[in-house]
Parts: sequence; C-alpha cells; structure tokens
Amino acid sequence: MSVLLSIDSVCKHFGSFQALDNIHLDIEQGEFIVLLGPSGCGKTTLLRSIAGFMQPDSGTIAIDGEDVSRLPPYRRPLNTVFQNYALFPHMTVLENVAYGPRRQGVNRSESRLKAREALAMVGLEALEDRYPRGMSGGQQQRVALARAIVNRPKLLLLDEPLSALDMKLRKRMQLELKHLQAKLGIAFIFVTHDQEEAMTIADRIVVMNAGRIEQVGNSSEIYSKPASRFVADFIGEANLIGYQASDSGEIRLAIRQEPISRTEKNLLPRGVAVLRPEHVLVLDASTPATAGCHEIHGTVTDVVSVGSHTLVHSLIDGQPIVARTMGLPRADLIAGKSVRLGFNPEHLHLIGEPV
Amino acid sequence: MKRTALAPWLMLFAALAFFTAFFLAPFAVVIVASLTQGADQTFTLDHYIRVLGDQYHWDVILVTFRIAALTTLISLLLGYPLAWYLVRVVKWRAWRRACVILLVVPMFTSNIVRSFGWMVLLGRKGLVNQSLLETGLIDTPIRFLGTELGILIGMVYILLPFIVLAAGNALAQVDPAFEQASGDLGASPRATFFHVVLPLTMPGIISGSIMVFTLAASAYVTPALLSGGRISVLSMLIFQQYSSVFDFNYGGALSVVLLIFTLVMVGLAGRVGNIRGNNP
Repeated sequence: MSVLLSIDSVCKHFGSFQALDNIHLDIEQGEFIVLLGPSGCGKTTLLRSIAGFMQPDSGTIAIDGEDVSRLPPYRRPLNTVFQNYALFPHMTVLENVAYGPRRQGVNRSESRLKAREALAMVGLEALEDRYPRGMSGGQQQRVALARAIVNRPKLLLLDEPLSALDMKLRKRMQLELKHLQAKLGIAFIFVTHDQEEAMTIADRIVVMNAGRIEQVGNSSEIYSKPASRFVADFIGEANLIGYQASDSGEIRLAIRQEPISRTEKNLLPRGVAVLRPEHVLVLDASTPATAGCHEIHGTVTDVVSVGSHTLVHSLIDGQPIVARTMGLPRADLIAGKSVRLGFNPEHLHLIGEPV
Repeated sequence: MKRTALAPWLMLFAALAFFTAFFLAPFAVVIVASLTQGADQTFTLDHYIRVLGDQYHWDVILVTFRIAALTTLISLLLGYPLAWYLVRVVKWRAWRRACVILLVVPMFTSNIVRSFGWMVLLGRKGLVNQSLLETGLIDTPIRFLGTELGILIGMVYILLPFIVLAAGNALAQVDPAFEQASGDLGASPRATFFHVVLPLTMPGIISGSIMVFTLAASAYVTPALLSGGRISVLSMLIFQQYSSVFDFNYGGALSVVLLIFTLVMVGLAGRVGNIRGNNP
C-alpha cells in the first residue's frame, strides 16, 4: 500500500480560535478513514482544507506526492459528498451526475453514459429524469454519491452525509457505503460525530478533539486502548478511575485499598484507569470472586434495563461505576442496597497523565 | 366567529373596489375611447389604422422599444456585477448598508429633478463634456442632449437600482454549497458562474429586467427632458394627445398600442426565462 494523502503540520485559526492544531496524517490508497469527534473539534475544517474550500494557515497537503495546498478545489483530484447534498436544483438527476464529466471535457453522450453507470451503482437509474426537489432524503443522498463518484476520483470526501437520514436508512446506507467503497477501491474520508457509525464503517478512525488528533487506529484499538481520557470517554461508555503509581511500581486505584497487579513499565505516577462496563462483574451474594478477580463494594444508585442488557450504576467511595450485565436485572439489585462488584485487572487500560 | 369569517371578504372587497375604481375603470375608458368616434361613440378602428398605418408611428415605436431594450441590457450589464459586489465581495456590513442606501436614496427624489440634473451634466458646457475636454479624451464637445445616448444615460441611472436589488436578492439566495459542489466537480469559477450561478439567479434577472423594461418603455419625464424635442417616444406622443391636442380617442389607441407591445415583449422574456440551462 502506498500513501495517497499526506497531511503535514497543518494549522488553521479563526481569529483566536485554533480550529486545526498541527495536524499530521497519512492516508493510504483505498482506505476507509473516519474523522470522528464532537462538533467544533476541527474535523469539518480538516475535510474542507483537503477539498480546497479553505486554506490552511500553514502546513502542506499532498495527494500522490503532489502538494495541492495552494490549488483551487477544481484542480484537486478528489470529490466531495456534501452534508446537505448540494444537488443543483435546476438540473435533473442525470444532468447533476453528468455535470462532473462535462466539466472535465467529456462529450455530451459519453457523459450521459458515465452518469447512467454511476446512477446504476447507487440503484437510481430509474429516476434520471426527476428533479432533486421532489426526491426523498435517501434518494438525494444517492444522487449526491453518484455525482461524486462519476469522475472516479482518487479520494472521496464525505461530510456527515448520513446525518439527515432516519436511523434505519442510516444503518443501511452505512453498509452500502462500505460495500461501494470496497467495490470502487477509492479512499474514503468520512466525517461524523457518531462513534457507532465510525466503528461500523471505518478501516481506521481518526479521533479529533479541540483541533488536535487524539488517536488514530482501527475500532478495536480505539476501544480497547484509548490513548487519552477524551478518547476513552468519547468512544463507548467507560468508567474512568483515578490511579496513583508509587516509585516501587505499586499501582493503587481510587476505588480500592490494595494495590493491583500490573506489569506496566515507565508509567506516569498519576492518570486514569479505563474500565469498560462490560468488564465489571456484578457478583452474587453467595458466590465468591473467582481467582484473579478483584472485589469492590458499593451502593446501587440506578438499575436501567434495555432488555438485551442491563446497566447497574453504583457508587464506590464516591466514584460512580457502571456495570453492564446481559439480560434482565437480577431481583436483588435495588437502588440504595449494597452490591459486590468484581473486575479483572487485565481489563484495565491505564492512561498516564502529566501533572 | 361571524366577524372573523367576514373580515377576509371585506378586505378582499376593499382591494377589489380600489382596483376597479382606480385601475379597471380608467383602463376601460381608455379602451372604449380608442375604439369609438364622436359624441355618439360609434365603433371604429380608424384610430388604430391611423396609428399603425403611418410609418412615423412605427419609427417612434422602434425608438421607444430600442431605448427600453438597451436600457434593460445596459442596466443588467452594470447592475449584475454591482449586485455581485454587494452580495459576494463586500464583507463589511456597514459598507454594504451604505452602498444600498446610496443606491436607494435617489429613488426618493423626483424623476424630474434627477433628469434636470442630467440635463445640466450632459449639456455642451456640462460637467461631463468639460471633464472629457480637459483630460484631452475629446476635442469637441459630445452631443448628449437630444440623442438616444443622452436618454439612455438618464434612464439607466434611474432604473439601475431595480436590477441591482432584484439580482442581489437572487444572488443572496444561492446557497454557496452549490458553487462549492460545482468547483469540486472540476468546474472553473467561470464555468461555475455560467452553469450554476447564472441559471439559479435567472428568475431574479428576469423579474428585474421586466420591471426595468416596462418602466423604460412607458417612461415620460426622462426622455421628454433629455430628448430636447428631437426624439419622440410613444409616451410623449400620448402625452401630447391628452394634454395639448385633446384627442382622447387617438391618444387612447396609442396607449393601447404601447401596452400591447410591452406585454408581448414581456411575454417573450418570460418564455426565454422558462428555458432551463440543460447542458449535459
């Protein structure tokens, strides 16, 4: 695999607000990349800088080794699916899709041929004579997709393309996009604030916060080995428990007197331990904890069941801990009653934080 | 309940009564006058035959609509870029507001005053000729008054704001995302303008043009003052018939001819506007 897009030291300010803070990122041919983060984290600014709608203050963006930072959008070998689709209202579906090849100098009949081909890929060939105005959100979405792939760009940018669709259609489109991407072999950069969506479709997720990249990795890396407190909290649910490490290597958690057994080296003296709710066991009053399982005692504050699983919220020395158990809640879990919880220290992920 | 149900009808009636009394009735009077003759009001087409059978009238009709068409065209060519500047280029709100005020405030002044102003400026020893002479661009003063050029300058000046406001309004409503999408698909700014922005602002351009064209075709004050009596447009002939000759029948026929010609032109413009920019 070779590097397709190379982003180097890109910064962007809006007044005193730092939208992009020294971004470095390499993307390979045919990769499905998701830029994930809360609103205002800089993901859309980064996408617009790649597309050319915005000039970074400093740094370079190169596609296939060629620096495109100073090129206008129409000279960049990439296409964009816009958040609100931006379909031309005065053109039919076919005209919309054929617009790209036409502007690239392809003649009329061949442009139409290419447009029909692209429409067929998204399953819309029957609607080519309609105007976008009268189409559903899902159909407009497909037209926007067909219009963006018709020129066969090296790189396709998608700016929260599914955010306007309802949940069911959204889930279906996620899988369709993934299949389409695999079929075309084009690298996709997909912006979203929805971590579930990101984990569903991405080869690699780029988690952004406050203009910086917090972590790059595949979904399991990001979930099981978050690089920062922000990533741990943003991706899925997490119990964040403060820890302290002594010079002798003993690690103590805020919720337990005894040290835990870990083998980390060069760990910062303070930080947080990430414990996912599914790794917290709710122990039965009669059964003892199994070997290797650390036991903690607390008070139940809430029991929330969604049918397939139950979340048990409890407090341990003032620290909230959430446990996730399969199925419906046990009868003895009642708010205000005490509870025995257990966890295996292997499941802890420690993130050192500089003081 | 009953009052509220009645209120819309009352309001509608008021509007209809006003429209009938001050528009339909006078219009009917004009039409009837144009089709009748003498105190006993016998039906005749003589006035129309007199209007359309005379080459002089055809010349005046031609001049009238040539001036109206050129006024519309020049206003568009000047007004669209100005609207673009105000909507797309100006970033500073206060300056944009100041520009719009500068554009609109002259409309509060009487056409007569403004046309007299142009008579002073465009005269043989007026500011325009003086400046041109002093900068050495011309050797002898240009004759503006009494020429179509002079009338055009005055008309464009008076009617330009209509185009700027209509086109500016249309431009402001074009979502910048369309232009970005066009650029993203490989269209140069020039291609984006002709394939996306221009078609999307066409309704505004057409409505502004129709306004300017109809106002220019029916304008009286500006052509009357700037023509110096050398050029006649239809409205001046109509005015003569009503105010000096007192031939309301013949004047009525002229009015109806002006109206019909204007409607035909506007209809043609609307037809052109309906043709969509389908180029793939």
